[in-house]
Formats: sequence, C-alpha cells, structure tokens
Amino acid sequence: MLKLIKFEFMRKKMVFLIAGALTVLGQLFAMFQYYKLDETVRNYAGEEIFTIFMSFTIFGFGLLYFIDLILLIKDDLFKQEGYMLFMTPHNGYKILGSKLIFALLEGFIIAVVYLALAYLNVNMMGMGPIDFRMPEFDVAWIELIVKGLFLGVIMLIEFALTVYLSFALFKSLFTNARFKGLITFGIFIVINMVKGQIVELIGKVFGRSFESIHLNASGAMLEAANSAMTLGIGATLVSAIILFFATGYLLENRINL
Amino acid sequence: MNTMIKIVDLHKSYMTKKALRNVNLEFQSGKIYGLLGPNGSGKTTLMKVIADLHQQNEGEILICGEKPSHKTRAFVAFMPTENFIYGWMKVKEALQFYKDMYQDFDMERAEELIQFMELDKNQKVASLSTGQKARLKITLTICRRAKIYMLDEPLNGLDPISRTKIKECIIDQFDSEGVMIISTHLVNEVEQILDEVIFIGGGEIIISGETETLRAERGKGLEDIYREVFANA
Repeated sequence: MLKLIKFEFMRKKMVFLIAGALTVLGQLFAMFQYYKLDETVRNYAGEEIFTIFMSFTIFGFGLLYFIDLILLIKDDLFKQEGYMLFMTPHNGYKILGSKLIFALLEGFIIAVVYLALAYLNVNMMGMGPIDFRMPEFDVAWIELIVKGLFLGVIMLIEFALTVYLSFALFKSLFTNARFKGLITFGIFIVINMVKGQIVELIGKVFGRSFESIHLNASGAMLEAANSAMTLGIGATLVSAIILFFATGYLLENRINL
Repeated sequence: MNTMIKIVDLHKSYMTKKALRNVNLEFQSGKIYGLLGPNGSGKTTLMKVIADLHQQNEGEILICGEKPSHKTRAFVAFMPTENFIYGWMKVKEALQFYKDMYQDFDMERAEELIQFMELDKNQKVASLSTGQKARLKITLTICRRAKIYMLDEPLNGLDPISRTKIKECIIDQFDSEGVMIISTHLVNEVEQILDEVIFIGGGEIIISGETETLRAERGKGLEDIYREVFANA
C-alpha cells in the first residue's frame, strides 16, 4: 500500500509544484502591497491585506483539494491510463484505501502550509506575535473541539467515498447504460439519500436524533453539542465504512474499465 | 503441457451488442497463440476479461485454477492496445512503477531492453512517439517473468523497424513454461511465431487449432485462411 501512496505523490508532484509556485507568487505580491504602503497606515491596511490574501489562499487551496479529491479516482476509472493501476496485483480495497490515505495526507499538508503561511504573515504584517499558550478551556470544550476536528476529517472521507462509489457504480453495474453523466449524478443523489436514512436509523437505534438534542440543549448547551457530535461521528463512521466496503467490492469484483 | 487458461461458455455484452458469445477455449503452457480477427471481433474484450479489467456476463474463466482477480493479475502480464502508461511519467518512472508493483519484474532485463529499443530513460511518456510508446509498453510487459502474457495488437501502427524489434523481443522472452497470446489482424507479421491460432469474429470462435495443421489441411497460409474466413467481415 505504501508503494501505491508513493505513486500518488509522484503523480501529483507537478500539481504541488504549480500550487507552491502560485502561493509564493501570491505571497510576494501581498508583501509588495504591504511594504509599498506608507508606514503610518501599514498596521491598519496590513490586516486588510492579510485577510484578503489568506481568504484567496484558502479558497484556492480548498478548490484545488476538492478537484483533486474527485480526480484522484476519476482519472483512473475513466481514462485508459487507469489500466496501469488496475492491472497491478492490488485488490480494490487496497487501491481505494491508498487513495483515501493519500487524500488525508494531502489535506494535512495543505492545512500545515496554510497555517504556516498565516503564522508567517501575522508576524510580518505586524499583527503578531501569536500567543501559543493554551487558552483555559475546560475538558468539555477540548473534547468538543477534538470531536469537531475528527468529525470534519471523517466527513471529508465520507464525501470522497460517496463520489467514488458513484463512479464505481457507473463503471460497473451501469457501465452499459445511456445518459452516463446524468446517471452518475443521479447515483450521487441516491447515495446521499441512503446516507441520510442511515443517519436517521442510527439516531433511532440510540433513541435520539439531532433535533431532539437541539430541543433539549437550552439548559446544557455544551453537553448537548458534545452528544450531537458523538452521534454525528458514529453515524458518519458507519456510513463511511459501508461506502468503503461497497466501493472496494465494486472495484474488486465488478469493474469494467 | 498444462492447461493455463480454461474458458467455458463465456458471454459478454455491451448494451445490445454481444461482444463475446459462447466462447470455449483452453490455452496450454509452452505455446504462443494467435488471436486473429478483424477490428471489433472480440479479441480485446476476451483479453480484458482474462486480465480482469472487464467482467463477463456469463460463463467461467479459470487461470491456473483461479478466477480472474487481483491474485491472477500477479502472474498475468497484459499489454492493452491503448496507451496505458501515465503520460506524466518519465520512462524510468514507468520502469520503477512496474518494479514496485510486480514482484516478477526484471529491472535488469528492462534496462537492457530500454537500450535495445532506443528509448531515453529521462524522456516523458507523453512526449514519446507512437512507435516509442509501443516499444515501452512491450518492454514493461515482457520484462515481467509472468506465467501468461497477453499482447493486444502489439504491432499496430508501427514502422517496420519497431515491428522487427518487438517481434525479436517476443521470441527472445518467451518461456516454454508459459503461455503467450497475441491478438492481431496483421497475420503475416506473426505467422512464423504462432503455434496455435484462434480465429474470432462477431464474438464467436470460428476456427481454432495448430497453425501447421490448419495450413496443411487447407493448403494455404494463415493470411489466406484469414481472408477466406473473414471475407464478408
């Protein structure tokens, strides 16, 4: 699997280089805008430049990541070059798993680069230094933040798997169908509806739902948010596991490239 | 001789088109097979089903006793007719990919063959000519020490020099313990190296048998038999 991940990194090196070059250019431009200002207005305008630059950067990174997440498997399933990957003696689950791990690593790298850029600019544009001391949150808050981050990550995986399952269904069970694009989109919608049903089912199994938690939240906001987060994590995890095995099965046993 | 591939009552269709109908075949070790037929006859589909890139609708395939899966892909070396090598790769990265992915890939042999094929290891695949891409494809495929080789139209669209080089490679690489299946409609180019031939048309096996026996029975060469069989195709 490591070799598959290594190969994904090799494949994306040009994208990384271009994104890196664009980021450096953007950074230079932002610095140029900042330093050409009169010193008396720099402090005020610096924040503005920082906000605009970091907003553009996060939009650019987000868009790049979103497109990359979709193309990660689409190119291999829909282009002839994908034979090269699917002829290897790796099973469908392994191929899918390696792509997901790569997507997570890529997301992590992007997040680190973004935070590093933010730190650099906060200091250079006179808004620093950043205070790294931990705010005095109580345990419930920290739990909520950790859960929120974890939920964000598994929601990302679940989204990617929903897209991948649509593609896999298209290239397996519906490979001979007409109106290919429409069907793929339809599959995507249906999978999302099924996912909604799964979440609802899990809520019923545990005897609560997001709505009931919100209604009861007036007294104990934090506790309710924590419960909702736990339920969300559970439901998303179950959904992601089902999507993973369904997609892996199709890639392994039903695919028509 | 062992039966390396056994195909029983194989059917495959795309929408309303039947690509393969009632195919029954056995491939024995130590032989080079020619899968001969015009364009659209089902040669590529048959190979892709064996290579586990396509799934059949009915019937069974056993490759060394196993159904096509990621396990059989470990000992089946398939060269599709399409340009399947990632365009972003350099030639040396394509070699490395094969080395990483296939335990049976012989890197030393591949390095020699790259020189023989006059390919530049630092050149990008996307910038290779059609002939160079074909030479790279064949190099990657036959440098695996696989039990089964399947070459789909290995000589299509190539200049005479490339064809000669590729044929030399195929003959040189063939292992008497394995099976090689070559699909083509350029019959006279491969006639000398085929032990058995399978004529396929409209998704059905029309004739199959030993090359020598067919030639003797019909009193003509393979090219003429091909013309006779597919006269109306």
